[in-house]
Amino acid sequence: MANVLVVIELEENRPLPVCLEALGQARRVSTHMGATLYAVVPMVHPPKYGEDELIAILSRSGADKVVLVTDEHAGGTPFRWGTHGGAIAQVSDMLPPSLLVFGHTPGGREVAPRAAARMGAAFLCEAWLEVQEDQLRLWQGDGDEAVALDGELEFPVVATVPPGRYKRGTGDDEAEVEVMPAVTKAADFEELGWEADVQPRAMVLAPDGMEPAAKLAAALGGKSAPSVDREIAPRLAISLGAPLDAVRGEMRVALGEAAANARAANYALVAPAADAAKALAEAIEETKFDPPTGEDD
Amino acid sequence: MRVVVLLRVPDDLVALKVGVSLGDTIALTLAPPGGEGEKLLAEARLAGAVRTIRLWDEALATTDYLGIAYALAATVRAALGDLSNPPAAILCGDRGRSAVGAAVAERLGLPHLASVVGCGKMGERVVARRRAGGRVRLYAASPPLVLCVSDASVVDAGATEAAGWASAAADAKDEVWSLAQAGLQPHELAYRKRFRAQPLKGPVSAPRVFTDARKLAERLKRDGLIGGGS
Repeated sequence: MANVLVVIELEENRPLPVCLEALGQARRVSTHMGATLYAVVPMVHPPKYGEDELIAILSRSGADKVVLVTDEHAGGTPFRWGTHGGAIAQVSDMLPPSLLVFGHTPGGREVAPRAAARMGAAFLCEAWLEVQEDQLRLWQGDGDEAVALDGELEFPVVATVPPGRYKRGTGDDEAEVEVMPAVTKAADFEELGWEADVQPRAMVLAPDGMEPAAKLAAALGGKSAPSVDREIAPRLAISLGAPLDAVRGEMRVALGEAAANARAANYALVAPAADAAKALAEAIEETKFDPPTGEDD
Repeated sequence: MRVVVLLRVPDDLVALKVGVSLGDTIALTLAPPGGEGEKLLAEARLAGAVRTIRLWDEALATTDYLGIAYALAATVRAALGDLSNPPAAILCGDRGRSAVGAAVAERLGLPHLASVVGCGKMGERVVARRRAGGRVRLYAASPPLVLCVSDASVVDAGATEAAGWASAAADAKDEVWSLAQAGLQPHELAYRKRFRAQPLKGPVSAPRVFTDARKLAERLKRDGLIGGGS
């Protein structure tokens, strides 16, 4: 039977939403393929008795089996090959996948292509994994500019999936769990410390003097400007109407009545732009100090 | 320290800026004659590359990211010999969807780091600045290694100028290499053609739509983008 593996990144011991979305779409694909779906979680220590919320979330999201790969180096975020690659390589050797899926996060972007190269696999970045007319179809890119692989999976494929593209899956809450200690090797790079980033963590793109935009930027600890230079790559870019296509960054959000049409955005908040900016600024202030809660959007 | 910078598109010149701050830099591209590749290498000479190499074979036009990585890795080995002595740093661009840098590292069996925004030397080691989780984290390792450079905003231009490395003469010519000079045969790349995605109209992206600002704020929080350690 074929194996489909989804690598799960943790943020404060909770799976990143994009990884659960990747798991959800992999569930649909695995059902079509008749494959076993594994959620692979690199982590420092497995959950203790009574701390099995992680397993429950992954089971509810569609995993047939959960593989917890323990590695003393796997605690840092985001992923990088030197700390998390060994664990992923170990699992992909033991359970050779037809499809290996990552969330399109900074860590996923770093680790997925190396995992693909190691396996001699095809690689698709920000992929579409679709079952259409009873056929598996795999694309990279959008619309007329897309490229596709033959979906028969005659060779392994590694793919990253962007946030917001897919819905979470559903499962029966009974995934099998396996704990697998990684064969630890010395870290490749020594982490010396950190320094403040000169790049703004968030940019709000709005006309000068738009007060709700300035308040939203303040709530995010970022900046507001009419446009963003190509050399700037904020983690989070929020647009109140400006095009997001050329904006580099980890996450792009569109606000406004036509926000749902912003193809380059991961998320859209549909409301008059100024109202949306004001409401989002207030919501961020209200939730700033709450622990992350909930699983559904 | 020896540096090789792998250039594929103009955005990759950010890696060259980082490379020339570390040592004598070779610029390498895979491109047919008379095209953008030659312009890219001319820009690399102006930016401080001491040697420029252009390799081409028709098999490269149809291979995938891993075939490209095989060719680049083989050329690096053929041009530099032992990557440990003297130590070599291999740099490439890290914008867009490219998987090549990580694949070159895998092919050469070297450690790699992505999202690098600047580099310096600390004794025999390279200190790389990597953007991660709202901070710039510092990592040190002894070369040989591979760094994928997304941005050169942390490079000190003054330090680069003061380094005083030799640079190629303005009228210097590119070295033109064949696959055979890199120790490869076309069939070693051609078999990867079937792994390369082909043009086919695909789905059209649309954002996840929220109608409640609080739900969007909670989602951004779970993504690690607001609050907490972000």
